[in-house]
Amino acid sequence: MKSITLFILTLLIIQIPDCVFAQAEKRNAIITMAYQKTDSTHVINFDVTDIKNIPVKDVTLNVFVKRMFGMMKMEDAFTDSTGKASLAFSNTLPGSDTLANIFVIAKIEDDKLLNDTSAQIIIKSLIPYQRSQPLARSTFASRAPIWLILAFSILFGGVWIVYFRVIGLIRKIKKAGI
Amino acid sequence: MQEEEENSRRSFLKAGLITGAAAIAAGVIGCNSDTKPPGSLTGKKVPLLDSAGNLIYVDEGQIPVHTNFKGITNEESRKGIPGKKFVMVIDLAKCDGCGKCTEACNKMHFLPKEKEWIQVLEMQDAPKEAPYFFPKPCFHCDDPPCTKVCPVDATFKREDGIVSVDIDRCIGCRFCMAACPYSVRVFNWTEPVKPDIIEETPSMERAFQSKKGCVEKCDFCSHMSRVDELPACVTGCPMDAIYFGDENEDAVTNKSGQTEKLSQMLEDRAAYRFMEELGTKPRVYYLPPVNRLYPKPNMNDAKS
Amino acid sequence: MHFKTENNTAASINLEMESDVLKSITYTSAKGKLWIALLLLIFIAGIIAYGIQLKNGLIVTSMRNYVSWGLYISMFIFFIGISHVGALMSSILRLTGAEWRFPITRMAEAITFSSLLFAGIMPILDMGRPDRILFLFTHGRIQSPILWDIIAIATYFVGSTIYLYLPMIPDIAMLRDKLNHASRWRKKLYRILSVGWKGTEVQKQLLEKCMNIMTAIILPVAITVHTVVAWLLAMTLRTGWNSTVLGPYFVSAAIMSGAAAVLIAMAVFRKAYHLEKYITIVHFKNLSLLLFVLTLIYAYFNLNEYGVPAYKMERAESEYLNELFYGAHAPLYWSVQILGLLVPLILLAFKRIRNSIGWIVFVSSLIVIGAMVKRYIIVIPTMLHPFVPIQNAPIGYGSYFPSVVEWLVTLGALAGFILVYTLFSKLFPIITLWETSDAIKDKGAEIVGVDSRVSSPVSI
Repeated sequence: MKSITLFILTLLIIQIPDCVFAQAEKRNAIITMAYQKTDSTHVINFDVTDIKNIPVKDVTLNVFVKRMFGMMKMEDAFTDSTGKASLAFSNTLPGSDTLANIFVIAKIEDDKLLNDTSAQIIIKSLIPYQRSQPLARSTFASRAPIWLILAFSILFGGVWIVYFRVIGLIRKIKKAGI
Repeated sequence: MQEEEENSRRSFLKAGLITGAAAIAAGVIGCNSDTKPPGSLTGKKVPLLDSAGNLIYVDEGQIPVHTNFKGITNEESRKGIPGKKFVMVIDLAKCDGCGKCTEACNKMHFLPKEKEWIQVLEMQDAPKEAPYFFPKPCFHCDDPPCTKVCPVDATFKREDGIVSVDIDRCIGCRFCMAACPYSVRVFNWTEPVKPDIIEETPSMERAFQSKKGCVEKCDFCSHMSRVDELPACVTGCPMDAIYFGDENEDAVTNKSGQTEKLSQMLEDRAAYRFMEELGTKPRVYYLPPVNRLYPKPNMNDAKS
Repeated sequence: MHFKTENNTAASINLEMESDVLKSITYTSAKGKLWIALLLLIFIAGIIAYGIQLKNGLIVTSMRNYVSWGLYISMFIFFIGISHVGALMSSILRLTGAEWRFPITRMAEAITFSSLLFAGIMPILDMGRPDRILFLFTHGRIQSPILWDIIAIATYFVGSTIYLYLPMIPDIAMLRDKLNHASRWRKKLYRILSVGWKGTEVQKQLLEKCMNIMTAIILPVAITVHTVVAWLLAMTLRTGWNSTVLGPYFVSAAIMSGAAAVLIAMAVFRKAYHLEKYITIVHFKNLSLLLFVLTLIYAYFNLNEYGVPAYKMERAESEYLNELFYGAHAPLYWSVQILGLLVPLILLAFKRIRNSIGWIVFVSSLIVIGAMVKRYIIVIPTMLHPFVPIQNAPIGYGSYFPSVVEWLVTLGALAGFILVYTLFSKLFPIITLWETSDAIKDKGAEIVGVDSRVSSPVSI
């Protein structure tokens, strides 16, 4: 028996169609996304319907992952006759914010029958957020390694102690002359 | 009117903000947590530097919120951008040696011709080996020989991987220039020509970083990264040869917005780092010049 | 040691020598005045040239992005090198018990004082922002070899100044007591510096103790100084500097060039101040024999520094070495190696050469000039051979020859160095009177190397 855990993390964000002057015959569509994680597989399920909740088939969904400087293209997904599609998502990517969230975006672009639209789902990355670490003490960092400070202090401190001793002795010479 | 424009220009510059018009043009997809969609037009024009370094005027309402940050302190820029580890990948197979990266960089940072923060060299490792063009920015080494020798902590390694220079600290001893095995650092032998704009930012993350008697170099355009914008050389490369990104995100992006998975790209394309044997651990990777689609450099011309 | 307990120091000073040496302080010949004026002139020219550099930036030098260090840093290393003669005299010769050293120790230690003064100034002249020099103290990073240099040079400067000063105390006391016609500031200076020296038993013992301590400490400090100066170059990944023997190589060159410099100084002072009776051929003979040995050691390090990589010819190294051996820098390189090393080595091997003051001065001059040019040969060709090829460089970036400003500033520093040295000899006896007197009394004139007609000190 297979135990299946189902997570539906976030549903839909509907975007106002980009193209205001859409042709009359083009319909608006809604993309619903869900992330499903089982023991061995990670899948993103897509559900495309029109506004009357009728499934839309044979739609190409362009899937992206948001990164700092751009959208990283994943494989395309195609809806079947029930308007459903799924895409294996290996979840080996790190997140893009402090919560290690991955923003996966599905887009319908340049479709013959549908206006452009997109949806987003937030998936928690398996890789934890990498907090910036202050640089450890080292020769190239701002802070010096302890051994270096010690070595220099001892070496030159020692010499200067001797100097001060000699200067002390010179003062003694002066006193002896009085 | 003139004065008002001058004031708004100054207030913008005071904030130390430079962002790309591209961000505005592209619009917002609704997934950017720290970016509000453009609001209504206010009719007030604000000067901006686009990614090519041109001064443009944009309606205030069109500026995404994240570009309106109040400027960052020197301490913050010494630390770097939190959570990031910047990395660059240069695809030598795509580089045709046009030098547009240098042009874009010089424009961005107001550099004269004799200063090149990114240099395009013509290389040939052995007489029978393939010649290739070699764009060379600062490698932002993880074990930087330059920051090791700096006597006053004027050049330093940031937590986000960038090796930066504080030109208000530099004493001009040029030890870092002697120590850099890649000759990337340049010195202000004379009073630099100041551009029209005056950036009154307390931070060292800025476009114009020249000061007489101080050393300067490529800073990976950290002022652009602050606002999620690519460095000038990346957006200036017509061949899409330069990729830039965050190693912590495992992704790099080029001019066209083509975003690749860094780890996979490095593995699939047999990436290497320049002079790995020096142990400096550069943050710039090169993809070997295989299957090129452009004419190779003529090495007879290159020898100077 | 050489202290005579039964005598008052002031009384034990040889009166004849005293009056001979004091002449150099009380009287300056026309030639001497001209000499000082000339040095002052060159020094001022150097200051003016530096003013021009400050105003216009380092653009007035020939240094550019590839050759970012030039003549100034070469001269810095040279001055540091010359300064090592003090440690050689006061430490090595003292430890080996060479009694003949006394008449020349102060000459040597004063070179150290003066050259270190200018060694410290050279890097400041090279700085792009000398106005920010205090950042070295407020923001100093101990990881940087520049900080090591500052610490080591300051330590050596203070140490060698103490060591120069200690044996001067009884002599200054003598000046205080005898120079009745001196100007008021001079009298005040002597009074302060003589720290109430009366030559009492306790004072003598204390002074002896001080000198023993300093003898032990000054040699390691001197070696440290030139080693870290070498590390300024050796700690980089540059071809030609990236060498493990650079430290000892520089130290050997330093002691050699220092010994040669003091030989020249000896000849000049001997003639100018008529010290023929006290600085004799014996000193020249002994020191030039030592110079021969030091040159041999230096030659050995040269073999290591150039011979070992030349055999292997690693890629980047081979480009650099080929330039030195056959390329643009070959004439300079071979001139230095032949005239500054090989010829002196061969000449010094002959006793006849070592018996002639004229020849010794000639050979020493070759060595000193050779050492100066060698620093240039160490700094510049390496800077011209980075790992990444120099391409499409703006005019003047791919080569280096010092500009007029650089020459003037450097000559000014050299003149300043000689000027400080000359003025020192006008303020203080250039021969340590009481030590030499004591040594003559103890060991005899022959061992100390002074003219046998110099009689034993008279006791009053």
